[in-house]
Amino acid sequence: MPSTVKSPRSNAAWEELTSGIQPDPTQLDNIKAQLDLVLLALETLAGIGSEAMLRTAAELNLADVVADRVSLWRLRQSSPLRKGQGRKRLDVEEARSLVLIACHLANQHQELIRRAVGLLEQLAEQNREPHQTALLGDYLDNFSNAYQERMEDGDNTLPDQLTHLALKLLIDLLFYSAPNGSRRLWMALLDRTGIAHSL
Amino acid sequence: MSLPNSVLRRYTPPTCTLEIAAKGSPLSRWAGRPVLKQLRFHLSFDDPRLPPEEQVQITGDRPQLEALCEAVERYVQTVLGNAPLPGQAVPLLVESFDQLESLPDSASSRAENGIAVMHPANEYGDENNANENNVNESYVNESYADGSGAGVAEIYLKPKGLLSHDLCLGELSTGESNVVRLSALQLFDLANALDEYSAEAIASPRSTVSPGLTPHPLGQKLPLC
Repeated sequence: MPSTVKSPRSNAAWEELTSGIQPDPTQLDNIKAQLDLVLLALETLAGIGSEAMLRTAAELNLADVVADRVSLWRLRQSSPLRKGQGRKRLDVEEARSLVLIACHLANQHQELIRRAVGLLEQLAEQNREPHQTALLGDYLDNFSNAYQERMEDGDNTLPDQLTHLALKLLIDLLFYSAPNGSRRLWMALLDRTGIAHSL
Repeated sequence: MSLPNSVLRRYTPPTCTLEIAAKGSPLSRWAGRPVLKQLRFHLSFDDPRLPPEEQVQITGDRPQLEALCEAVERYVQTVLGNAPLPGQAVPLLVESFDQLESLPDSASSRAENGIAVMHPANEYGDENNANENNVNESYVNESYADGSGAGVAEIYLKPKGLLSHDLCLGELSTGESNVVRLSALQLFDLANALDEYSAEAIASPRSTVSPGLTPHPLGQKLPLC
């Protein structure tokens, strides 16, 4: 689908936020882990596959960073939470690209994300479990399955913890789906790593 | 409620309406963008679950609107910055869905003792707790570092579980209500309305940002004349 690229509202502001950032390896690990989780939530809520992510990369002129399935897989696999060895190092430019892709996709699926959060709110008010609706039940199941399949600690994470993680990511996704979502996600990533505080 | 000036902008996400009224300045044509003076805002939370008499409406001036923008944006960023990461030294929250959401609607006052407040940083260890606890303070100490919001009583938000948030109105209190309970969707809509306003009305020259402030779009000043 052709699309107008306007994820960051102001390119200048976006450049300013991302330039001069030099996270250390631990901070980058943290960023990689979070980005992979955000994408995992998108994948399992909206059924977004690698095709859609690659298409979005192309739309955003990021094809040189995320060229094909293999490069996308390697970027995702760079999360320290993932099973497997031989992780690729992810640099700031790659992290930035994944932020733009994730937020662009979140924006495209904003209606669905909003509906899921609205449903969650209604259920919470009625003190009912989120699993009782198809949309949230499927999401939670898909998320838990994918997490257990892909992550090193997948089998040792309690179902309640996975549910909480999935719901927190869902609500976060809503905020990343806004026009300024890229800035929000990027700042959140830096916040979590302590980089934002030293800016 | 009528506004003294003409309404220049109306932001209408699904759960709130933000109206900006101001007198346009002749400088607008030179600046190539709206330059506003005597700005007033009117914000109404449109909650279909509440009867008309309980719908919350807030009115204020430019410094108050800027303080609100700042408070909401900082709070949203703080909440998002608390992304949980399983499997690392940082444990996941273990509260069940029931525990998270069992807060009664009237729980706002109970939050003061900290028990009813669940925020993601709670389980993260001392460092993050310290950050979280300092949030409210930072609204007061940092938000108005450029002097634009001087004199505005504290406006801040605090979490009431994963899905709801209390907006404490400070100087914007209407008498009947000084705390507005926002759902996640309401907070999202409010943040977007305020962000849209900021993006449209805020001066573009970067030179107006006081040196020493952290880069933040809301740190820029409105073009007043």
